Amino acid sequence: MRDNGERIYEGLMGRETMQKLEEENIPAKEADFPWENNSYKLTNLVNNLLLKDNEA
Amino acid sequence: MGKMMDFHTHRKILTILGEMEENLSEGKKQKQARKPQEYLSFFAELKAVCKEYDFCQTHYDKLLERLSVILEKAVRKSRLPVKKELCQSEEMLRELAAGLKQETNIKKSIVFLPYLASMWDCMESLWQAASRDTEHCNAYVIPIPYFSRNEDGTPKEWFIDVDKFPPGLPLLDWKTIDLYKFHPNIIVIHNPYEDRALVNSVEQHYYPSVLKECTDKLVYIPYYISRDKDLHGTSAERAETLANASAYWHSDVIIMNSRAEKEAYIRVLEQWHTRENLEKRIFALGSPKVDKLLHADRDEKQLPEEWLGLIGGRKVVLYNTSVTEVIRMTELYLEKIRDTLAYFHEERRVVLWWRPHPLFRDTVGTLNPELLPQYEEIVKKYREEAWGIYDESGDMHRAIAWSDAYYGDPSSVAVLYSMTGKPMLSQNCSVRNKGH
Repeated sequence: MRDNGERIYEGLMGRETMQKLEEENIPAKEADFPWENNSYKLTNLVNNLLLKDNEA
Repeated sequence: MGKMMDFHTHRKILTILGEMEENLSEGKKQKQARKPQEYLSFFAELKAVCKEYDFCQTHYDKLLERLSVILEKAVRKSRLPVKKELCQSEEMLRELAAGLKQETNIKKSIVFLPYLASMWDCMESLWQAASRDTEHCNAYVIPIPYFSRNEDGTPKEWFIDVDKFPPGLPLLDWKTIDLYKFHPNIIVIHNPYEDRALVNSVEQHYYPSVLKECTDKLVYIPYYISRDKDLHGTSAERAETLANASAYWHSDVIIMNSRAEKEAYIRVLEQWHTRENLEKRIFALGSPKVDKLLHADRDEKQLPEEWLGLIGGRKVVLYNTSVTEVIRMTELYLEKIRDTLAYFHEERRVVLWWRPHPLFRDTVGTLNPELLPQYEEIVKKYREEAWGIYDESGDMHRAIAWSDAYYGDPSSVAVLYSMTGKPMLSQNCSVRNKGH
């Protein structure tokens, strides 16, 4: 599958319509980005990171 | 398909044909008229050029022959073509020029105008696609100059990032290129602003409103992308702030990362443009920044020895302090940085990779100059103590590839990071971590 740069290039060169190229674009799934609070802070981030590593 | 004619050759031919039509026109005062001999030489040159391009020979050979015969006669008789011959010449010249103007078998030229090397990733994979297609396209990269601002907006210091682009990337010198004369088919930019940017500015010849006159198609690719999940929150605010920037007015094509982001910007921009106009110009084709992210890799050759030594098998937490927060920066934000550094100084199970935004220090200097000495002191102490990594490079992809978790401000780095699947936490200035 072509990457975004290739898709943009094909569109700018007029080889395919922009609308068709848009349909092909499926953005990557986004991870959660929680806001730090007193119940979940840096210690939790670090501990979970290290726990995940140990489990792996 | 035969070989494609180079853009510059095509442009030169059209210029001389136009000049000929003017100079050979009956009744028109001949400005700087060339002699028929000179035009004959040009035709000989044109015929030689056309031999290289199949489409030229097929379509224009007879026309060129007929024009050459008229000119040869004029040269033999040491005079300009007579009236009847002139009429025939004008008609033939117009036919030749019109045919060549509409010709699609011409190589396109695409010029990339990055100003910050750290933002090259928003163009890179497009440049790679263009430069691979050598048969149909000539791709040029011209880093452009920019300046930081004093508090009163006047230029403080000028920069040109030529030494900071990836090694091996062929670059042209901006001083040697007149874009108005060059007039490439496509110009690609990532700077959206003119004189309204608070912290820095590109040189005014590279303002979107000026570049629009230098090309057939001005393409704007933002150096930031939004998370679809944020489009009703912080990204919606950013769309409001940014959508009135010059590039949104003057660009012929604007590239967005997702359809949701495109729709968010269209909703804001409808204050000034019709939806029909916007839908013809804004396309969600995906950002080249994401291509760079997905292709990035851990390569030990990319890291200084001391960083490799600091990491030494430990997990890495990327701490990102972004420019947008500086606008709201207060003593509280500085205290948060101190608290974060103090936490990681004690937490030795992981190593801290602190990467402030490349414009962070300049932004503090412009918008909150009274806080700059304190900020510089924090950085100085951190670097001297050397227990963590301090990354002042423009290479966010290296930082993303080498880290295992993200802590810091919402920003374009965070947006990209969220696509890696690694854990993240957005820093909250009201929360203290040291001692926990």
